[in-house]
Amino acid sequence: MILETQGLTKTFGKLAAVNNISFGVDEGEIFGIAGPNGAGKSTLFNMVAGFYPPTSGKVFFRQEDITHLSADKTCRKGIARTFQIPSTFHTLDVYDNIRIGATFGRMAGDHRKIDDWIDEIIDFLGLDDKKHHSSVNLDLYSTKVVLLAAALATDCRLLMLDEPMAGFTMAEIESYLSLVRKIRKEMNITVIIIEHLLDILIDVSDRMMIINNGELLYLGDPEKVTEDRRVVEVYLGGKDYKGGHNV
Amino acid sequence: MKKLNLTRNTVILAVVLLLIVLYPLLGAKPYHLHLFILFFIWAMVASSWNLLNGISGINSLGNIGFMAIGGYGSAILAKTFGLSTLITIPLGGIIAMVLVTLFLGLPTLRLKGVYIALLTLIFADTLPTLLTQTRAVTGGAVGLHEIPPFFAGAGKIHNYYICLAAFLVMLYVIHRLIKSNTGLAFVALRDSENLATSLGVSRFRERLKVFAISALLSGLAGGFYVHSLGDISPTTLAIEPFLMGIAMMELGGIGTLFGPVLGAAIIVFGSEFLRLADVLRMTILGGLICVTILFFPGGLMQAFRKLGNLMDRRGKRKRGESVQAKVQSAD
Repeated sequence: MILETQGLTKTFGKLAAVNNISFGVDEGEIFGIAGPNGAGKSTLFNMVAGFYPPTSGKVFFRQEDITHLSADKTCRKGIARTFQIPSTFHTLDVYDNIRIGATFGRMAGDHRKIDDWIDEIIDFLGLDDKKHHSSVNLDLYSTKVVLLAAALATDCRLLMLDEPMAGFTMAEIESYLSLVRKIRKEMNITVIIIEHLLDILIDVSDRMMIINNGELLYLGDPEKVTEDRRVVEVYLGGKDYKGGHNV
Repeated sequence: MKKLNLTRNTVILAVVLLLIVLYPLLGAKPYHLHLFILFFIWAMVASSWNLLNGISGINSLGNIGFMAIGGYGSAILAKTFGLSTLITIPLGGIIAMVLVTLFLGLPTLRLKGVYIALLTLIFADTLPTLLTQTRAVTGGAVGLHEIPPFFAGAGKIHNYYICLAAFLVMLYVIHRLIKSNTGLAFVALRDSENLATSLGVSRFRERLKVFAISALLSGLAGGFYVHSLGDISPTTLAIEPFLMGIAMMELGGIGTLFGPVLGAAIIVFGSEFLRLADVLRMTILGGLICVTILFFPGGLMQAFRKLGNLMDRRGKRKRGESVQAKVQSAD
């Protein structure tokens, strides 16, 4: 198991945004997380990635307790993440955006290799033609690929994507998903992905987890998620879920 | 196109630099040398200030204080202990660096935006009180006078070249710093702190680094200030120099390498020139700053860049037209 949480809890005042969630992610899998708005998905990400200290509970990465590590240290352990709101380093070009991940991530200090490594990432994600573009005027899809590149440039072992496909067209979703699969297959990186569109998540995930009101609702086989009565009732908002993707 | 622009800028820079180097030899008046010395010192202060406010996006209002610490430190060491300025100026800078890192760098780790501005302002604002309370060492409200020059018998012309050299070295150091990985980290944290930390940039380390470097450089500028002018008093920390420093960055172009230098030149020479306007001096300067910020939020550097682009485009169009004309005549 590459990542494991034990009873992870985060309370803001009286509100338990995440309540006692324990789950594990196996090395090399694509792990999907779904849940309604405000379910606590992003809060969970923020705790794992070191952005919020948990109120209680523990996080283990490759059997090592990383619960209280800061975000930058967590990154240097090998966990990279993206954010729901896609914003780049707006004064820098695409190359320098990626250079930050390469320079300060796990490759930090290995100056000779960094240039080759950045080129490798750019090549891998097909960003060659945008290399020296300013990172502000990119379209949404390219922006997200640049952010993905910066995260990969940290040389992570676990990649956490927070609703990466929000706002995409179906065609863009397809090509982004093929990138995600390629990253897992060719770079052998474990991926956790938060996504609203359940069909897509079922399609791409090896296993998935559904949370609601900060609590774990379902953990397991994506194929069986729509058969789970609690999921259908709470998450899909009715007993007669007939398919279709928008939830 | 870009290459052309670069060489043009390089030529302009080289000519300006050559003129500055030759200026004292062409029989400049001592008063004009004095103005240039002020410009070199202010350019150092504004450039080191720009590391915090421009490059790192940390709103410091305390850099005149950092400069004063360096200046007082060096002056006291030279005057009271009779040490060489070769030692006292670096020591003054180091004292400023240590105090600022401890009392501002560390506490601001928990702060953001305007609260950092407040804390740094308070820091600089307590200095005059501290200085008047420690009269035996600092000379109190009167300040320190007859501070030893850079070396025995150093005149205006020596001061000119010493400050020019210090300014050029400092500008080069800042240039290298901005281009380095450290500069990249400063910019990354400025543009998006969350994204930067998620990619492994340490907010803790970089914040301390930028405060330390900015304070060191401002403190060094303070050392050059006291040994070329010969005195320093708490009035250095009054509101006017403080506003001047901020105006230099904003007017010239905050966050750019040459912006603060340009701003320093305009403010130092401009405000001397405007002495003719007497009471209207500050009003005119203030108006100038307002106009610049309104039309060129990136300062004069932005205005120049726009001008450069315009010229490039025009040149290109002309060339394009002549090519077209040739094609037509060939037909």
